[in-house]
Amino acid sequence: MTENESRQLLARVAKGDQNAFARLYRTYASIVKAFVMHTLPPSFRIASDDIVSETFISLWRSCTKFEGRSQFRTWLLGIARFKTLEWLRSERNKLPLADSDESVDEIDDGADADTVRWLASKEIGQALDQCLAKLGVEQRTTIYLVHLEGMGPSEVAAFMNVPLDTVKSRLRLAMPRLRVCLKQTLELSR
Amino acid sequence: MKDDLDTTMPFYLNDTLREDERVVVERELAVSSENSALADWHRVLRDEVRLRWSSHGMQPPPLDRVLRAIQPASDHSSRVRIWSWIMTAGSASRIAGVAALLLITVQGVWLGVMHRQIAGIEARQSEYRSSVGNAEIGPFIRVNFRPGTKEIDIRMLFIGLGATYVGGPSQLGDYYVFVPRDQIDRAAEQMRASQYVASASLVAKVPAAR
Repeated sequence: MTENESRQLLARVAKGDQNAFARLYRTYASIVKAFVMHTLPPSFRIASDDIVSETFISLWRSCTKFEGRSQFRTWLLGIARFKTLEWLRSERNKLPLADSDESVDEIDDGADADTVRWLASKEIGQALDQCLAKLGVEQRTTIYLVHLEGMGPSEVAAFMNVPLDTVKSRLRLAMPRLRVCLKQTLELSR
Repeated sequence: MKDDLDTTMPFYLNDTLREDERVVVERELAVSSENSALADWHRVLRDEVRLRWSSHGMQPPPLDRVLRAIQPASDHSSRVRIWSWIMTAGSASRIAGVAALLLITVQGVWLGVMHRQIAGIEARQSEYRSSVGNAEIGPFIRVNFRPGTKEIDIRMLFIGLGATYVGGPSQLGDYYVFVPRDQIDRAAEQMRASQYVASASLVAKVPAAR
């Protein structure tokens, strides 16, 4: 579905057209679910369906707030992110300790060129799931936006409402942690 | 350099870096096998993340569930839309017109009721004056004033002559006043001499109120 079609459907939703709403849902619900599921901590993924539903209910109620300054898909994921964070705040007592996004202390991943080369050549699939799960919500969200949504640095910063340096620090922190985790996990499975 | 590549490689790979930043990254990749290996690792990470986090095959919650949830919201939206329609410029002016018409009608009815009440009070007052007048024993002075005479002049004239108002004004503008019998002729003369008085004459009694 093109951006133009999405906007036309949204305009119909604003007039109460449930068929247009259903078409938007069929197109974007799986995208929203992927976003929610992979940014939530793994132990909370069971809530992803509820958050997706909440996201679309919010779309129905606030569709007139879309100003067209971003793509519709980005705007919708912004609602999903808000709903995810809202849900996490309500469950914060049960949350595992997340990595601090403010900390930019350098992490020595202990990976020399050979190790990095070895990691790049390995089938890291299963191990990657485990290691991505150990990152903080904001770090996972940043990786999702870059690799799945193809956003640039300033787009990520605008989407997450943080300075550009924070986006960079999240990546600077996340990547060495991933490599350390992958190395340990893969060595254990040898 | 590893830190810098960790922050720039993801954007280099999704082709969103500025041209000057791309040049820097490519220069770094060309001079160091370590950086080149790191770039390879980032490519593997990107490919794996895209593969594993893709929305393909993702099963969202059933649409019916969401539609059911928005149903009350839909009713709410309808109410909001009806209110919005009412408040549009055209509709608002129509409603303002109807409200103004209603207000004018209510005011008209109210004024009508008030007018009838005032008329009733005036009739009762007139009757009272006549009955009071009849209570005095005549003769009385019937006096008629020139056009343009003010009420204050009439009052001052009556007070100056020691006359007491007992009735009028009648349909022809006649007032009736009582003056003690021993002074009445002189009072009538003085009235006739007044610049405000058109005529003044003695009468035996005050006409009954109608």
